[in-house]
Amino acid sequence: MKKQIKLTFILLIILLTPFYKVAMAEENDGTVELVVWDMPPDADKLQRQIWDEGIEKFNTIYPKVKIKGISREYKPQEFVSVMASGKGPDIVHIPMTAIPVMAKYGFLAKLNDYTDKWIQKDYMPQIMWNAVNIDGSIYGIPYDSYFTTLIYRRDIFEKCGLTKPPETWQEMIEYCNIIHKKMPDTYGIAIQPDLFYFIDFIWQAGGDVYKNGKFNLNTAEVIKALKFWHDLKWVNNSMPPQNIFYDYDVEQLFSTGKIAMMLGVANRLPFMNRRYGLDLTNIEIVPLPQGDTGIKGWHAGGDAFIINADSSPEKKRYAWEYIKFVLDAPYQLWKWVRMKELKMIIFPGDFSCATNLINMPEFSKVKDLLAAAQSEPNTYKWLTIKEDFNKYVLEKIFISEDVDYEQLLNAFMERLGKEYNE
Amino acid sequence: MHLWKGLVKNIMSDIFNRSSAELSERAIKGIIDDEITNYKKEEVALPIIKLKLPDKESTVKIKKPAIKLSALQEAVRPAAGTVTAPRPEITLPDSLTASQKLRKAFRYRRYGMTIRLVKPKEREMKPLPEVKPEDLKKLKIFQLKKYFLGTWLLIPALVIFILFSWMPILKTVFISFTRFLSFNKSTFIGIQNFTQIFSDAKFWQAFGHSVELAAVVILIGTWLPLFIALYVHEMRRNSSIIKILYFIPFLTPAVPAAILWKWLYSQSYGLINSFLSLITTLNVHIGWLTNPNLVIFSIAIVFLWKNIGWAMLIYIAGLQNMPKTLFEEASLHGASVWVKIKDIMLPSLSPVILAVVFVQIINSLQVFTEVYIMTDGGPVGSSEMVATYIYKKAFLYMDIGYACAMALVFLFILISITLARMNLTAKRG
Repeated sequence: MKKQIKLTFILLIILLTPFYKVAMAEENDGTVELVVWDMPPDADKLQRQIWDEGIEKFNTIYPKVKIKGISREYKPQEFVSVMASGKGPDIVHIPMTAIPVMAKYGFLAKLNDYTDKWIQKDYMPQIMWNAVNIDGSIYGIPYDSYFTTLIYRRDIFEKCGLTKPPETWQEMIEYCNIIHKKMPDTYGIAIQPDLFYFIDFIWQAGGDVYKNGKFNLNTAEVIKALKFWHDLKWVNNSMPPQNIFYDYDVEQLFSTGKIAMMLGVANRLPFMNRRYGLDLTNIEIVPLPQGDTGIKGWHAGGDAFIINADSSPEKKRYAWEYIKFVLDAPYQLWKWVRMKELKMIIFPGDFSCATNLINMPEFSKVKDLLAAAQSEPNTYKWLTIKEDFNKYVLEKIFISEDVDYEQLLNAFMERLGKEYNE
Repeated sequence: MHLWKGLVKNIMSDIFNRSSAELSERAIKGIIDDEITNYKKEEVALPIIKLKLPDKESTVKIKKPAIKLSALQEAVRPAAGTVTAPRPEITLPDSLTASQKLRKAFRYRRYGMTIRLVKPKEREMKPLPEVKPEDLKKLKIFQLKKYFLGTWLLIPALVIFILFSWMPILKTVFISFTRFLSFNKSTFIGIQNFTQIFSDAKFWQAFGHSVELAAVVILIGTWLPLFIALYVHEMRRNSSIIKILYFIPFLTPAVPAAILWKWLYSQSYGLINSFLSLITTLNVHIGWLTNPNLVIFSIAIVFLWKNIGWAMLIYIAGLQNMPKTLFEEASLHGASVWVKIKDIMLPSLSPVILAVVFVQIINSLQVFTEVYIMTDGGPVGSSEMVATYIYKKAFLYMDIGYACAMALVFLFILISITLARMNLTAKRG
């Protein structure tokens, strides 16, 4: 027995020695390791190359900081689990819409002390800062930005003799009819029942979903937008014969040329190119059409850098240095040049939402979009309200041909009152 | 004969004396065997006693007696009317070991020689050494160690089991009585989470969907594998290929399988609708996953596709265990196939059927991956299952306390089903 204990003890020492050595080496060197969840995936070789080169540049300035990059898409359950375990990464890229709820549960560090003195702050649109500002506390640093846009296939438009994108709801319906008439196997558009996109149509109809801290989802404008979506499917036959489209359905249909238009954000295009072979030179990104009121409406969103609330003060300081380095104008300009050198297609979403590069040719459309962009409600209940609205309202109008919009929305508001005290 | 018995008795008493313990006959035989095999060693360590063996030089080798066989035979068979000559007498040296004595005695006896045993010397009985208190303590520690040896050996596995199985359950119980204000700050709210479940229409709706799925699974998933198993059981050739073919889906990881089925079910361009369009020459666009009335059935199909092979194998094992004589006798009495199935096969297979039914119920109630990947609870919440609802409450709505309470209620339901199964099985004997 004693022998066994001794043997186990010796084995443990042998096994733990390398870890101890590594730990001691770090301590002795004063090296700080930052775990960063923003590394591009292996499949995205050129983006990855640029990221690696960027880290090398960072290390020339901060040789004692070791960046451990992890390629991971944001998934709430994964993020919550790893943060709750206390072993969460120091810096993460998360969607801005997730910030209110994650901040509420204490995962995110307050960053006001850093941002107040940051010169680059003023170059970022206020709309982006609003999304990360919760009751005066900054919980994230806006990184990339995207706008909900209309993406269309130039090849289908050309075949159908359409020379410009639709600019109004009415034009959108007409275009869909022309496309389906000329190419019977192809439909005009496919829309996923998602409040993320629907909110733009509410704005275009002249409404607003969140005013003075209250949700207004049973207004005449919401009904008007609902009717437009419902008619696109049931009256105008603008969509493929499918009850409900999820994001992947729409992306697949668009990439394979089964639909000519889709609502989307440009950030998804490289993914669609990788997964479905979408030819990126064949697509156009334009602002969403305006409603019958003549109001333009779309929204800006994006990812933000957050710093783990549980990281040590030293790590937090270096994490801020890393974020600052990545978002500063020289790095962004270097990235733009490098992407050009590597002959990559440049999307504004690949860059910081700061206006440093706004005068570059690739950003000309963004410049226009930024002016009319709005942001989603900045409350932690928004994510779940969106989920419920999708399920009980939007999916319903795509499944049932006969819908009483008013009744549907009133029932939803009743549910909202019961479940969210709204 | 008496001499032989006496010899054995003496040897045994010798051993008894030396070991100072009561040994069974089997133990003595073991000692003797050990002595024989290890006699060359100076000292033999036995599990119970130590026996001192003679030095190699002094070992007496057993040799064939130098007496001619014919002379011996003559000595053994004296001529009629003559006086029997006295047999040569052999004295066994006391230095021999017990087994050597036994072997020698046996050999001499074979050749008709009388053996005279030297009475073993009476050994001086040494008094038992006094046990010191510290030795007694050591002995107690040793006994304790021996007593807990099993526990020690169990500890690594037990630690892993407690850490990864029981700790989460206990933690879930603890969390279910709390409400999280932030992740590090929770308040105790008693049974509020549990009472909330009873008034949560969404939970009961999800539970209803789970029960619906379980019903479809039982309806098809119990009988279809049985028919396949019967067919495979009756196959004379290539039955193993069929078994493998049916079992492969069970080995397929759930996520890729669900993605594959999602594509097959696609309403616009899915393979199933395309195939139906081909054979009906109509434009078939069935919303397998987007029609609220069809979605549970579609999920059940995926579930069955995955689990049918497993159920089939269980049934085949049950069929193989059934006595064939019953069927033979039934055939002799002219029983029809249906009678054989109804009166012999089904009653014999009923424990297996019961097991399959209950396992299918539990598995279908727990279904998560297929639903999460294929529909995420949609459309209009018509495929929301208990497992997906708990998941959303925990990670989307971040209501972790309530999610834990629901998980416990669900666990209680599953345990009740398991107990019902055990009870039924026990009643059937």
